Amino acid sequence: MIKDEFSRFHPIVNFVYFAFVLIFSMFFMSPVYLAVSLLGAAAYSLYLGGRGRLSFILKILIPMMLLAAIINPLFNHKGATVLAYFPNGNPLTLESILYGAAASVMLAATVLWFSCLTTVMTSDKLIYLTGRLIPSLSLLISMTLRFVPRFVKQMRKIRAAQRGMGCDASDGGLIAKIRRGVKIISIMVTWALENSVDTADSMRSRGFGTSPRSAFSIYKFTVRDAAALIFIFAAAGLVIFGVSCGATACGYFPMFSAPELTAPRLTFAAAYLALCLTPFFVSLICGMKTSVELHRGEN
Amino acid sequence: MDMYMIKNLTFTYGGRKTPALSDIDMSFERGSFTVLCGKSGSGKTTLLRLLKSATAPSGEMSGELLFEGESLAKTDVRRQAAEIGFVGQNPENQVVCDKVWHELAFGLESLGLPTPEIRARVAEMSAFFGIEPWFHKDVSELSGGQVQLLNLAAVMAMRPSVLILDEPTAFLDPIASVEFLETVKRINSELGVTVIISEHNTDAVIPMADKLAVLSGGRLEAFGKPADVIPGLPGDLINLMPAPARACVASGGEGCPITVREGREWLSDVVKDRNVNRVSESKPQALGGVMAELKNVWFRYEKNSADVLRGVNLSVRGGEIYALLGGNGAGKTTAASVLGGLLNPIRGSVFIDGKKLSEIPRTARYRNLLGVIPQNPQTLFVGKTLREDIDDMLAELKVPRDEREESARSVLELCELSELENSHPYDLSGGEQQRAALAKILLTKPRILILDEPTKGMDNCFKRTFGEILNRLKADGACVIMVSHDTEFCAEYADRAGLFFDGEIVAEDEPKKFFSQNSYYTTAAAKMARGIIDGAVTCRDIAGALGENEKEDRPPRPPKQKSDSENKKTADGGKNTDKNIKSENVSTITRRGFKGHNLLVLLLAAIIVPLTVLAGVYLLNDRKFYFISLAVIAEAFAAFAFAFEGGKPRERELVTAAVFCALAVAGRGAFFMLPQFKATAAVVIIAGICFGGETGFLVGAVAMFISNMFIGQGSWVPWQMFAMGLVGGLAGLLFHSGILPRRRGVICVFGALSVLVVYGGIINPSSVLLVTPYPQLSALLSSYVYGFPFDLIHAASTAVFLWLIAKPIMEKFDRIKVKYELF
Repeated sequence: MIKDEFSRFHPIVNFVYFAFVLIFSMFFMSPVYLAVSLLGAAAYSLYLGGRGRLSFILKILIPMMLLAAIINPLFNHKGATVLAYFPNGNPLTLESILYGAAASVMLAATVLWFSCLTTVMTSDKLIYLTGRLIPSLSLLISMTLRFVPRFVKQMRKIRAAQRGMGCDASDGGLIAKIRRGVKIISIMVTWALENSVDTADSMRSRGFGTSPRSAFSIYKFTVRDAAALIFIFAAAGLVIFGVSCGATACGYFPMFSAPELTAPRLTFAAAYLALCLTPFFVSLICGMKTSVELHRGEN
Repeated sequence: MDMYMIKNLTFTYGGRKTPALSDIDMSFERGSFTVLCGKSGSGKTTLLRLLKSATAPSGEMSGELLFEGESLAKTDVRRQAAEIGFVGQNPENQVVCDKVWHELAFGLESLGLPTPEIRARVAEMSAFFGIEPWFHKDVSELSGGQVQLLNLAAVMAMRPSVLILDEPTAFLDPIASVEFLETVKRINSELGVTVIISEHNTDAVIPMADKLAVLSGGRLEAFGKPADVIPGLPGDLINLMPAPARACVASGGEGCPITVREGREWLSDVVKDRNVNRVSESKPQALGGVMAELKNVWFRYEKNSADVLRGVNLSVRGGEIYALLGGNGAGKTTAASVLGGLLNPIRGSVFIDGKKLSEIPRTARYRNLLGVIPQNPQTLFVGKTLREDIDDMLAELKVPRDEREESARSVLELCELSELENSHPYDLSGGEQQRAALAKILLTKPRILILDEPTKGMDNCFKRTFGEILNRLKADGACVIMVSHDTEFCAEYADRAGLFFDGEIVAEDEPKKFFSQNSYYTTAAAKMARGIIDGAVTCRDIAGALGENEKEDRPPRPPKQKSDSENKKTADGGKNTDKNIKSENVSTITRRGFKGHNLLVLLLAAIIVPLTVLAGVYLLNDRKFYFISLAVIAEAFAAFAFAFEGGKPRERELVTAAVFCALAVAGRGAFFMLPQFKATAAVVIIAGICFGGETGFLVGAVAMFISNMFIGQGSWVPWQMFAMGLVGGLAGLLFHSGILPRRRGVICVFGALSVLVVYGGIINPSSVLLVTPYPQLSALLSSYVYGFPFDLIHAASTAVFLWLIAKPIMEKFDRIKVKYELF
């Protein structure tokens, strides 16, 4: 089952949390904030994804970061500190290299946060969130999610049936392959469209469209969800306050300039760290509680 | 008061002359359990569907149809939705949502009930139906029986007072069917819900019934208590009745036993004062040589999974029908697939016609040798008519043109489909579809025919027709191997039967011995005759033993076919092809679009988007390009979503749009043999052409969103969604409104260009925006240069797809539109 406690929180808590961390990580270019974001994202992503995620980071993410870091100085020639010149006469500047590095960290943090989002925000949470606001579209998404695995399964059956007639799409020349492949898709589309009418009938038979829809969910907003939400808003509020005070301001061009780390600025950065590590706090607190209760139960 | 009162009901489908139902007079008492019987095409489905306005087919109706004393047409649709529950044939087709809990709540959400009430009702239903263990699961993880139970529970959550079931077990295996029917019985007896059910499996359902209604050719043949009705039925309708009753009628007995127990009581009375003949031994047949052989075959699906086949030995001779019986998951179907060359054994060998199967090249296996008929015949149909499907197969087989007519005619005749050659394959009934699949396969002139559950969902009359076809093939020296749950059919037509258990064949004999030795896994007739008449396994055997020969009451072929097909087209499933006439109670679905909302969308575009850009420029520094573009995309989505909601899309529009979304998603990864080919853009463009710009945009956006849900979301998702949305939107704008002609060439060129310019034009620079603060022309240009080869492949594959599939898909969509009055 789900070991992550944060995933068990109300979808609104999950959504608000990811909205904040994603926007913040795409927005902040200040080195301290970038580091905090990357740390939080990497830690949570590894916690959720385990070994598979680690190999993703090593094999895909790091090359991607390198590429992003290289691209920037190649095309961006702003900056005052010229280190060298390209053969075509454009300057290579220290600032553009720094910016490239920062952008690659930002990219990595975003990708990692998104990977957490994919794991935590399962389709039913998503449909819950959209259900009230955009009911028809939410239903369209739910139905599509229902159809995709069905279609994939049917596609497999169609292939097997075609093979049983000696019309396998992997035999024959290119033209034959394409012709047979297209035939499979054609059979698939006919099947899907013809059978979809039953689905529509079943919807209509169950009163679809007779009254405004309500949105049912199996989620309950409890005290701990409220507490988590307050914590997230408080931390995010502090960070935003910090932004308005210029704590995250950081210029790369023409010269790199980061604000000094004063005590209030450190506080804002700490608030951001707290925000990025929220899932861990949650797991820690709730984990302690459950183990205590289990102990009591044994006695 | 009666639940339903039907007086003089006559119903004719739009565009048809002969009525599908005529002069029906009947009533359903409150709390009663009524079984509706009749051959395929007798009007059962039409009658059941007319009992609820939401499912009623369109056509001309006369007479009275009262629901709780009030005309049904005048009963509020919302009240009907809650009080009249309807469960159809195909379990999978009826499920709307992806999660079990959401599906249970669907109807209640539609009624607009508040969450606490839905929660209570859903909880109650889950407990009643025992759904708790799979309450949180995806529907795709459930078995067929569970899905049908879910459909029933979802309907019951709305607390109906009457439950209408149209052949609900046609797609289930015997154990799941019995379980389902017992649940229906429980609903009737414990909750007092009125049940009206049509069902092929009369052995299980008639003992539950208070009333039995028999339809024939659209007329009510008989209606009353089962024991009163059955003895008076004409010969061909008796075939639809439970085996004990059939045996009794066939041997000219008195009374009407319905259950096996009653059958045994009747039989033991009868044998007291009659001399009983010995059951005739089956005549030894002239068999050919061994045609198909499994020798010590082992198989498992994955390296580390359990063995499914554990040393199977099987040999079948020419001119023999071999039945493979056994429980679910015993490995019967797997064994058949190995024999058919669809799966390769891990150990052991398969011999076909004396040669090792692995040494026969793949293409040669299925020409004049093996024929494998899939369980679901709908996996074969490609044409607009049955004849087109046959011709397609003939072309695939490279049959010379002048011989095609002759081959088509003879195979259609053999399968008794000659009258149906111009019907759309999907307009045929389940039994006819099964025969059509057989016809297609028979064109390859197979000498070994492998069938998987051929009689599933067929009524007894269709089974007979099918059995006779198999006998004709057998007479020509072919060997037939069928996997089946249908003990009655196997007892009647098989020459040998094998019991599959735990990955091997544990017992094997000719059916008379096989079924009389088994006491549980056997036919109803054998259960009845056990210890009374030795060796009798079919109703015919019992009748023969009692000195009567069951009359050969199979009606002459061609006329029956004609009436069958005629009725079929008009009577079953509300499938009519003419939309001119609409009955009053079918709401006209007009194309609701976004018209009223266009202004709002424009306003959004004209005011909010520029404001966003301005605000971004002033408020943001380095990241402004990135965030402004993201915000604009978000606003575009909001505008489209808002317009979509405002249009209040109807269920048919939603379902077909979801079908296109899912096809586009499946098309992203599914084109197996050529890896770079992706059908997504092509499907989105076709959706745009079919539905128009707005829905085209949504299909594109939703398809990209959902395919990323399977792959993993990322910061690229908004751009992909937006770009694909634009492709679909543009297609709709240009083709749906007729600015561009819907010609194949034009569509292809449009497809290639839109992928190259629009999709590539958005995706390539988006990656630059992500990493550079001040995107410069050179960076953007080089992103295009680097992306160009990929875009080119994408564009070319899209054009190829559109060239090949655009027209057929649009035709299929048009058929659906006309047939179901969509838009």
